[in-house]
Parts: sequence; C-alpha cells; structure tokens
Amino acid sequence: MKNILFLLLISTSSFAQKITLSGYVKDSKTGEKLLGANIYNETTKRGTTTNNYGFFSIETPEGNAKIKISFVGYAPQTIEKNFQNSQTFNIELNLNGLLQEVVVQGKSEKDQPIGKMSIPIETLKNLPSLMGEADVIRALSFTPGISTGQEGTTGLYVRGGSPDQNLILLDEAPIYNAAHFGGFFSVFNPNALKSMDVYKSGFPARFGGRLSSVLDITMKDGNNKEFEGEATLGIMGSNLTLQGPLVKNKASFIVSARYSNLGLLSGLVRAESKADVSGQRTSYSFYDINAKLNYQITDKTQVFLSVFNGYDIVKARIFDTNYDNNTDAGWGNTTGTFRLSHIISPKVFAKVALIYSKFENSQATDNYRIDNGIKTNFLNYQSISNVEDLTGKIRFDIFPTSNITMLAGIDFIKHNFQPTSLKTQLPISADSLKKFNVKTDATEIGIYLENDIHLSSKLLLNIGARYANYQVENQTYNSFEPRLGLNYDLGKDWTLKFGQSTMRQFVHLLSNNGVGLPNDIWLPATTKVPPQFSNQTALGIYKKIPELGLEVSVEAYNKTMLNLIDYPEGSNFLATTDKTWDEQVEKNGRGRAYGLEFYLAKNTGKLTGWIAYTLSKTERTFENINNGNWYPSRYDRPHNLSIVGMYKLSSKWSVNATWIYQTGHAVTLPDAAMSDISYNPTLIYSGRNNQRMPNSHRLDIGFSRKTINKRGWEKTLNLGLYNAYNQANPYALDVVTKVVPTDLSNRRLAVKQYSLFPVLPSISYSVRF
Amino acid sequence: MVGYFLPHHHNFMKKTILFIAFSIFFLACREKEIEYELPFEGEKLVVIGILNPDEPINVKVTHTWTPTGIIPKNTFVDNATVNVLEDGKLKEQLVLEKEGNYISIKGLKPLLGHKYLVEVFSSKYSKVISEQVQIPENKAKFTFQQIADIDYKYNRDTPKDQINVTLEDDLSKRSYYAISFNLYGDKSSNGNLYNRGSVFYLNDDGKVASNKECSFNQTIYKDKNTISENVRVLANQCFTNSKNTFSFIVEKAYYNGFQNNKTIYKKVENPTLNIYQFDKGYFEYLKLKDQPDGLFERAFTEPHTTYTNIKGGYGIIGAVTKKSELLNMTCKICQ
Repeated sequence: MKNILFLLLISTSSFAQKITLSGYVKDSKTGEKLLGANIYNETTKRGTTTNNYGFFSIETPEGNAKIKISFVGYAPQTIEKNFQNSQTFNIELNLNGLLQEVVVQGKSEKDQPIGKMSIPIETLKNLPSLMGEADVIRALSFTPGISTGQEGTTGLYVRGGSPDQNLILLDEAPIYNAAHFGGFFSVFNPNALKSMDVYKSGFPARFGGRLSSVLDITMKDGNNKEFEGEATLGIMGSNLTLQGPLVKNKASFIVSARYSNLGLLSGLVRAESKADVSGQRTSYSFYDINAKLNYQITDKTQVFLSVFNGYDIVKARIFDTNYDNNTDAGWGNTTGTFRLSHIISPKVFAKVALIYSKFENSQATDNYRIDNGIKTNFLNYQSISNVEDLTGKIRFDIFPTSNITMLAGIDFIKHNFQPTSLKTQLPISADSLKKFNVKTDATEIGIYLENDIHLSSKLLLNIGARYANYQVENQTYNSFEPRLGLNYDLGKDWTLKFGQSTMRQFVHLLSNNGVGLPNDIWLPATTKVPPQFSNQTALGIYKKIPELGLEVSVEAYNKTMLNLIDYPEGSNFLATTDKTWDEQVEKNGRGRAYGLEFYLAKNTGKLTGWIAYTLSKTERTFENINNGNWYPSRYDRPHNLSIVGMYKLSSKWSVNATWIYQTGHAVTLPDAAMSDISYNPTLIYSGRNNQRMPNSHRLDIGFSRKTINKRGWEKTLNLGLYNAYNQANPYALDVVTKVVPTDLSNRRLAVKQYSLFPVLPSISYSVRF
Repeated sequence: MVGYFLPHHHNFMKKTILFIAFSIFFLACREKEIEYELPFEGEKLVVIGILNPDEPINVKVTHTWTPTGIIPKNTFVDNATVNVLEDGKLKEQLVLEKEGNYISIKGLKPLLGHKYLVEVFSSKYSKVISEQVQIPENKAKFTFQQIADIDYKYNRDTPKDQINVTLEDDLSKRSYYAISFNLYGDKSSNGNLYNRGSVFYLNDDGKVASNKECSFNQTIYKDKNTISENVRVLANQCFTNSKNTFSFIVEKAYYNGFQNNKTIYKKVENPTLNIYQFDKGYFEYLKLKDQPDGLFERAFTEPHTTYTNIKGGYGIIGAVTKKSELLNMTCKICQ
C-alpha cells in the first residue's frame, strides 16, 4: 500500500513548461475512432496509445515537435509543427491497401500488458469458418492458452479457468452467454464489431468480477461521413449491416442484423408416419441485432447508445393419436449501453456510462391427451432462469505527464438473479414452489486506481488496485485486489513482461457437462457460497524480427483458484430434490492451473499467420468429489497446437487454412465391470475424469475472392471446407452393451463415440456498398 | 408396479430438455463405434455379503472384468478361501455352496453389536479384506398409524391405506434406517417375487425428505430369484427431532385383470411393514449404487466413484437388522 501511495505521489507531482496535445484518432473514411493507435513524439522519444475511446493525450515541450501517428492497416501520418499552446485536435488516418499486416498483437507490443491480445476484426473475418460464418470466439481458440472445449460445446476455457470466469463485454455490457446453440456460433456479429481485446493475465485494475479472462469487444460507431452497407448471404442465413451519418461528421448510426434458420436441417429429424398422425418435429433458429447511435455534441463531448439482442429459439413437438407434447425453449442476451464521454481538459478524459444486461433461458411445455379427438391439457409448466444487471460507471483517464497515465473509476452493479422460477399446474406444494422461485438481489461496488508509469525508457510499470464490496443476503464481502504489471525492454526488440493479478468473482455458473444445452444457471455468491478467488502470476518474453516480419513469444503462468463450485457426484440441477441450489452444490472447491504458451507469428508478406502451442495442466479438488483427491478439470488438455495460415494468391484470390490439434479432454469412464448386489452387470468408476477422450484434430480451408466493381462496391465470395479431411472428433463417449454378432448368446461392452460434423463445405457471398 | 413415486416437476423438465437435446443433437451428429480398449488393471475379486442376525452368513465371490469386451457369462470364483472374523478373531471359514456363493455350514449368524470382517484368498487373485462392520443394535423404536381407504391422486381406483411411521432416535450417534412394505401377490410366472402394490412416499418438504444424502429410494434383493424390496432409506443426520414421522400411501391390492367392464383387484398377501437398520457402509453403497445410464444421462450427471468397503477389490460387506409388523388391511372391492 505504501508503494502505491508513493507512486501516486510521483504521478501527481508537477511537470511544468510543457504543453499537452490531445484528441481523437479516427478513420478518415468513416470517422470511426481507432482504439490503440500509436502516437509517438519523436522529439521527446515518448509515446502513448489511444484509449478505449480513441482518445490520446501526450506532452511535448513548447516549440517544434514531430508527432508520428500509426495504426495497423493504416498509412502512418506525421505532424511536424511548432506548438505553442496545449491543443485538442482530431487526427484522421487513411486505410492503407498495401499494408496487409495480419497481426494478433495490434499495437506496440512493448507496452501491452502480459497476456493481452488484440485481434483485428478483419483478421478473424478472413479465417476459415463453420458454414461461412466468421466467428470471434472460434478465432480465439486458435490463440495460445484459449480453447473452446470440444465441438458442440459452449464457453471459453482460458488458462485452466471455466467458462463463467470470463468477463465478456460488448460496449462495456456483460454478456453472460456468448454462444448460440452448442457453441457452433458466437453471438458476436463481426460486421458490427470494431475491435476486440483479450486479457488472460496482467489484468488492469479497471477490470474485475471474473477470474480468468476479459474479452473487451467494441461495436462500430457507425460511419459519420457517408452511408454504407454490407449484405451477406450464406448457408447459415443472412446478415445485413447499414450505417451512415445522421448529421454529417457529428452523428451516426449502425444497425446490423443476423438471422439463421436451421429449418432445412431440422427436416432431417422429422420422423412422421405416412398418415402424419404421429412423429416428432424440431426447429431451431437464432438471431442477433446490434444497433448504435453516436452523437458528437461538441468537440469535447460525445454520447452514444448501443443495444444488442440475441436469442435462440427451439420448438419441439412429439405427437400421436393419443398424445401431443409441445415444447418451446429459448435463451439469449439483451444489453444496452448509454455512454457520455467528455474531454475535461487535455489531460483529463471522463466517461459516464449506464449499462443494462440480461441473460435469460426458458423452457415451456404443454402436454395434451387426445380422447375421441378432444384435446385436454394435463400438464404444463414454464421454467425461467435469468440474471439481470444494472450498472453505472464513472471513469477518469488522467495524463499528468507523458510518462504517466492514470485511470480511476467507480463501478456500481445491481444484480438480480433468478436461478429458477416455475409456473405450473403440477401438484407441487407451495413450499416447494417457493424454493424454486427464489430471487436474489446483490450489489457490487468496484473502486479502482490504475497507473501506467514509464519509470525509464526501458521499464514500464502498471500498478493498480481494485477494491470491491459485494452485498447479498445481509452478508458483505470486501475484496482488495492488487494488480501489478512490469514490461522491461531488453533491447534489440526483446521485451520481458511480468504480471500478477488477484481477482474476485461474485457470480457462479452451474452448467451441464458441456453438452451445449441452454441450461446455464447463473448464481450469486451468497452467505452459503462465497465468492470465487484467484491469484495468477505470469512471466513472458517477446521478440520481434522486423526484417522477417516475425514475432515470437513464450509466456508461463501459474494460477490458483478458491471457492469454486460444482455439482455433487451423481447429481445435477435436474435432480429430484427440493433443496435450494446453494444447499445442493459442492462448495469450497480449489483449482490450480499452470502452463507454457508459445507463439510464433508472421505478420507481413504474401504468407501470414501464426503457430500457437500451449502445454498446460489444470486440476480441481472438492471435499466430496473423487474422495477429496485432485482430479483433472474436464477441459484439462495438456497439448494444444494451432496453425493459422493465410496466403494471397493474387490481387483477388486468397486462401487460408487452420489446423488445430488438442489432447482429448478428461472424462469419467469405467475402469472395470462387475456383477453388483442386484446381480446386474455394473460399471466400476475409480474417480472423476479418470480417463481421456481421443485426441482431436481438424483442418479447415477457405478461399476468398474479393473484387471491386465500377461503383466501388466490394464483393466477396467465400468458399470454405470445414473439417477438410473428415476427421471424426469425439463429442461424447458412451459405454454400451451389444450383442456379439457371431455369437448371439454373448454380449459385449463397447465404447461408442459420437461426433458432430463431417466435412462441411460452405459458401457465402457478401457485398459492401 | 414397483416403487415409490416422488411427485416433482423436475422429471418433466428433464424429459423436455432431453428431448430437445436429442432432437438437435441428431441434426448434425454422427456416431462411430470405436473399439477402444479402455485400460483394465486386471481382474479383481468382488465380495458381496449382507450380514443379518436372522440369517446364516453367506458371501458371494465373483471377479471383475474388462470394461470393454465380451461380458463373461460366469464370473464366479469357486476356489476361494473365505474367512469370517468376529471381533478380530477367525470365527469360521465358509464353504462353497454353488456359483461363487459361500455359506456357513454351522449356520453361523452374526450377533447384534459384534464386529465382523471378511477376508478372501484365491490363487488367481490378490487377497482382499473387508472393512470391519458392526451389526447395528436392533433398537429401532417405531410406531405406526394406519388410515384406511385413503383417496390419493394417483391410481385413484386402486384401494389404498395411509401408513404414518414414526421413528424414535436419540440422535446421539449416526444411525441409518430403511422403511419398506411387503405387498406381494403370488409369485409371477418367472418365479420372481416382487411388490404388486405401489407405495407413494409423501414428500413432507422436511429436511430429511429433501436431502438426498439422507433420504432416497433403493431396491434391495434377498436373492436373485426370490424377493426384491423397494426401501426408503433414511439417515438420522437429517432428523431434526427425536421423533420423525414418515408417511406413505400404500396400495393394498393390485390389478388382476378386466372382466365385464370392471377392473378386478386382488388383495396383497400378508402386507408387512419392515423397519431396517443399516450400518454406514451399506447405506453408502445403496446411496451410490445407481450410475447414470446412457449417453444423455451421462451428459447431465457425472458418475459416482464406485463405493466399496473391500480393500484390494470391490463389493460390500454390509450389516442390517430388521423388525417387521404385519399390517391389517381390508379390501372391500378385492376378489
């Protein structure tokens, strides 16, 4: 604490005889603010980057100064001028068609915190995709330390953490479920997105509330100079994005909608009799809508309102002459962000935001008996689970000198959890219903202070702390979370980085074992179930070889986790019990994860791409699971290798390919069989996640043809081949009893593997106008 | 029909979600049977014996087999040496009766409150030894109240009584109980004897009823081809009072055909209320006996680590005592 005070004193000491240059860096064609653009003062040999809102502030002595502004994919610009006073101005960069860098680390790597990655949205749009749908989450799974589980599952697994431990923000609004059904597609429509930053460690103090990662996604502001649109038609469905100025250079809008209908495929599962009097029908669809309004009130003040709604809809029916069962299920997120930002002075940028976020999943069933053609409803219920947040945020970015950037702010979150609710005509006692209709309110306050301090030209210190106060059920949890990051320039483009983060998480997630079903239940930390806690230390070394366009990095991490929850053995939330959820779950679990991540990227030339390899281990222990012994976490996958390549064949054609290899995930399988006390053959299990699924690997290939017609419309044809060599990767394993064909009196036990996707060709066509 | 029924919406919810999952899963799913050899550490002895002071000791000895491959038709171990130790001293070596079943030729019955363990040697297998189990003192105090001809929402036409069983327990140490009803008809065609009348356990929303650690249903067998019982197992760790009442709706007759547009009911024979006391090992074994079955159950539920109190092998040496009361049930419409 004394050290922090000392640094604050340093940071607030006076720095006279200097002026401050500040403003926004924007795209010259669209007016989009560029986040993470580099501003380098060649006179003072100091640099900075634009913040999350495109704002920069840099000091220079009075007189001549040479300021160089650069951003990936844009032509750099140099301003050389005699500056006599502090000034606020905007800088517009032109897209540079010649510069086709495909980089994961977007800005000056030397100053990036350890464990941070920025993936340009254009890069991920170029990667091969499932059924032609570019996907943010899928692209992340090709980077070190991150996996998406197996095919058909939802959630991100970052450095041994579970999916609930990722703070996923869309325009600062938390997204509780980032995947559509089965994790095949994420909820993020790439046409609506501007940038994506991922933090796996070295978390800045402004982020809190999750243990394992932060995914900070920003939507486009909308073109405030001219109207433009993009339409895509693919196998999965349609996508339309429109954006343009409402008041030129001052106000803009963007609306992006995506709709997908798997009705065509769902026809495959129809199994109706000839008379169409019995059978089963299923349909599935999803949609996403993103919209944003921006208004530049003055040069210094801006407001925006962004909203997002994404939903999955499943309808299922089983029927015959006597019975008709109709089931509807749906789940999705709704968010809204209103934000006002204001440049108080060239050295102080302020932001106020009001944010709403809701995740809901619901199932409803109506069952009818049919007697003599008369339908009688004999069973119905509606079950809903949701989590709803209302957040207020205030943040100040303060730039006292070119060496120091300070961030200070307060977040206030009001959570409302309804893990389960039930409406039904079933004969359930009032007491039972009461237990299922429990609502829990909680408030969370986070206060943070963060400093980026260039202690010397070689050493950057990021030091900060976050204090969190969480109140629920007359219980208060206080949390002090120190954060520390160090970047040391070793010279010759070598950088050494260190990060230490303490994190506290006040929400829990109960989910099934990865089937990808819509049954996620978000739960608050309560009196009985304390908040999760983690401590992570990371160390990495980085090297750039500019002449070859190469980047190499190695990162090591060690993470410990406390107060985890899980289902008891042999039980889950579907179990027949009247206990409340916090009485049912296994509590006070511990976790540990450690690993090494290797990354090699080639960012320039005709051939670009990267290789990522992760060697890791992650384990859990609970008092009442596995006899209290440590066991591998379900998504412990010791080896994870990804190769991503993009090659420009000509000015129009490009080809890209990804190959991924992962150790099979841990799974509970029998060790032996015996006759039990009931004289039935039964399987013997020696422990949780005692064995592994087969290793999985997959090659995806994509071809892209881009042309521009006379009207300037950009047309893109994408051809894809998912799982090109038709590998049957395991989705689930089951032990089944089969009759031996050659000896019908004999039976055998066999392992049956279920796989999802065979080789899948795809095609999509998009027009940008 | 056998069994207790616990009315609860979750069963419906589960079916619904499973149906949705099943349907969508098969939109894209392909299955592949792969002949993996799951690792198998070799055959081990499986020893099963439930010690009951009313019956001579009998222990079944079989062996495990590989989890993938042919299911052996015969896993009996007929060349084993099976020793029973009472309070730490060898009491008797059991002899093979048939098919891996070892019995006491002296008709040795375990004694209340005494401790027993079983050790088994066989040339082909590693020696196994059970944990020491104590035969529970048969001190279960219970009373019951019978309400005749109760109307209940399920199987409305079948005649039923309500039986309220009150167990007394001083809560001074852990005790494990089970309540069951013998509601047998005549032996079915395959020779099995099972309950013909259903039993509905009235969920009282109490702590005992709602806590799976303390209260669950399980089927127990006396012998493969004779008697099975469905029992409500209870642990006193969830009892809040020294007296706890558990209510059951008991069918005293069963369907026996249909004639002249009328259902014919037949009265169950010698309806009996049984109160068991178990040792902790047997309670744990019964609690963890059922594993998730099939792909979708496994998708929702992690299997239990298999419970055993046989060191070096698998199985259970359990201890049980039993008290029974014949019930007086009259059935006006039975034939």
